[in-house]
Amino acid sequence: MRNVPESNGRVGMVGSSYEGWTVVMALLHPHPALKVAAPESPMVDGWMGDDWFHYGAFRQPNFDYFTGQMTKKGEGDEVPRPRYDDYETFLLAGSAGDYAHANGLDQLPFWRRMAAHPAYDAFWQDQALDHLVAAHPSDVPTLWEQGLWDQEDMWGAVHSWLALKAAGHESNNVLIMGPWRHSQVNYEGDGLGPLTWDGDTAHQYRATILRPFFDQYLKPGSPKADVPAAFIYNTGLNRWDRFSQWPLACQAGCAAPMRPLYLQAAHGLSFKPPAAVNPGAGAGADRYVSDPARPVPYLPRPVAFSDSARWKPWLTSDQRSVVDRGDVISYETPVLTAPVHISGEPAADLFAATTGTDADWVVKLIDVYPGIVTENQVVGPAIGGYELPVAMDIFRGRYRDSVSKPEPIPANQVERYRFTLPPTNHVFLPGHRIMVQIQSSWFPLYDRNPQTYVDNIFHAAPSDYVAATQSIVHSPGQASAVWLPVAP
Amino acid sequence: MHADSRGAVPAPVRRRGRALFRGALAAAMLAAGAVRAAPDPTLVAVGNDIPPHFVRPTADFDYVRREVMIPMRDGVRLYTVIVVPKGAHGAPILLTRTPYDAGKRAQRADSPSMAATLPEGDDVFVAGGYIRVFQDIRGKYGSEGDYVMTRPPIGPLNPSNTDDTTDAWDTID
Repeated sequence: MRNVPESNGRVGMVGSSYEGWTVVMALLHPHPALKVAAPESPMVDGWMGDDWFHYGAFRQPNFDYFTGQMTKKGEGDEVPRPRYDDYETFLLAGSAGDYAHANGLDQLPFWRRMAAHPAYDAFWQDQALDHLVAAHPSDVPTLWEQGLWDQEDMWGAVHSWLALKAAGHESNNVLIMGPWRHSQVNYEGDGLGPLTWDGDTAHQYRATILRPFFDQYLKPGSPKADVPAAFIYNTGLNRWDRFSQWPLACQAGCAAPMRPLYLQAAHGLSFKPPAAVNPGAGAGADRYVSDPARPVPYLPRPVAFSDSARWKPWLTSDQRSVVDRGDVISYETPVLTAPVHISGEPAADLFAATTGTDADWVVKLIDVYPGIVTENQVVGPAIGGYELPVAMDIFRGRYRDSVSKPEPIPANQVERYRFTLPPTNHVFLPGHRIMVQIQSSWFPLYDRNPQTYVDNIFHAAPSDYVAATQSIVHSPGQASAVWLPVAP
Repeated sequence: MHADSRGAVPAPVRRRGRALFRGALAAAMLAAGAVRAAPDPTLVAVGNDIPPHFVRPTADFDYVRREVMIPMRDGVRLYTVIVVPKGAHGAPILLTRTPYDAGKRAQRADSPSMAATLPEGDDVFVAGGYIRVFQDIRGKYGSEGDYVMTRPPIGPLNPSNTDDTTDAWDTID
């Protein structure tokens, strides 16, 4: 401050991603001159869903980031590639740990610390900022922002805000979610992937919320900013929604409870519980073989992490690219005759068995567009039948009962797997269908689960990788579902 | 000049058969030198083509850029770029602490325009007359100290007496 005699002594902090993390760190014990803050897609919990892992499944593009950040004081290089297609490169390498070793990453102390802590133990818990901000809440007025298709830091902002809200600190904390990829808030927000919004949504936010909010606290005499408790884009109706309370539905304490959308026989999906089935082999369940030798690609091959034009919008990519694979199973509702508005965090609730002793579960909530799109909004007519991901995530099955103490999965036994999906504010319109897709790999973005239980998947041996038959159960007593935050 | 001129003569001229020609050329050059008191700087280089100091005219810039090293409580100094709208007085500060090269973050384009120089997302703050500050976190790019990836808060995972909470405090102080 003493270097800036032109200032009025008031400071606001802003920043996205790692720069968002530095904003959150400043909030743990803020200087009195720090009057307002906006962490944008902050890295908050690297194990639950920001950058490093999602629910324990490791994200392999991190290796390029590690060498870029930690092999030089300035900008380092990415890891060289033997093939263009990262699907091949990582399949040839074996485990993530084998890949890291072969490329010299064992020299990096942070990678060694991470590799020693694959579970959500004290190493991750003690630096999880969503817990820390709730334990050390600040009075600084703060806008917690993230994208609704944030492909890098999908966890941090919303969970920090929810934790502060649960701790009674909602009054100075605001939630912002735009229809954006990671950090798109600071660029043009006219669209993402195939989606076209009602104008430059990023500039709309910066001009009507961010700047007035900062002015209010940084420029004495400014008018009070007109900012609701939560300002979230509605990705079905193509408009901003202003909420005085959010989420609109949740497990407890919201205006409405969550509603289970049940998996059904014949690949159906319905708010009605599944009917009893006649006993018999295979009844009430669907099966697929998950083979680590040919994992499901997260984008159509060839895929290179360095191809940022495909990486940035990938969470909006058409899921028809995998719907016909034998190791991807899908369920869908009949064509909707009335809109279904969801606003909150959907939750996967699977009853599943595997012939292996460990498994990954990927659950995707998808908006299936009509075969011919006639709506003059959001998407063009060229993508009739588009399968738009609304909320997707991956869960490593060993953590089903405890994220800090993993346990093998008993083979051939139905177990329950529950995890929340990323937040959404979406309307499934009449004429559309709701789809749920389930699979057991998402490669090479996520490292493969060997499907044989080993202590540390980073160090799985080639012989640990085995094909397994997965059973997804949809019977009355074991009714797999995706719980939806249906607006009242 | 004469010593240098030999190197400038094309190689074939120096062959034995061209000795006479070379001698004639050298004599002509010596004669030219003899009539001139000092080299004409518009014709030939004198000394270093890179001046010891180059001052870039910034009269037309709508901002002033300063670079400072801000000391933290443990003596480590952090590289900080301060971009001030020209003529600012009593303006608020917008601060970003980065692991991604503060110098570059504050120079999207090399331009006399503050809006073009700062990141695109800063557009609304430039329009609002804000002072913009970018700082390299410790251990990266222009800052001193050790780098720790998303350095955990002081405590069981960080036994030192600094973290990015104290560094933010010391920067603002």
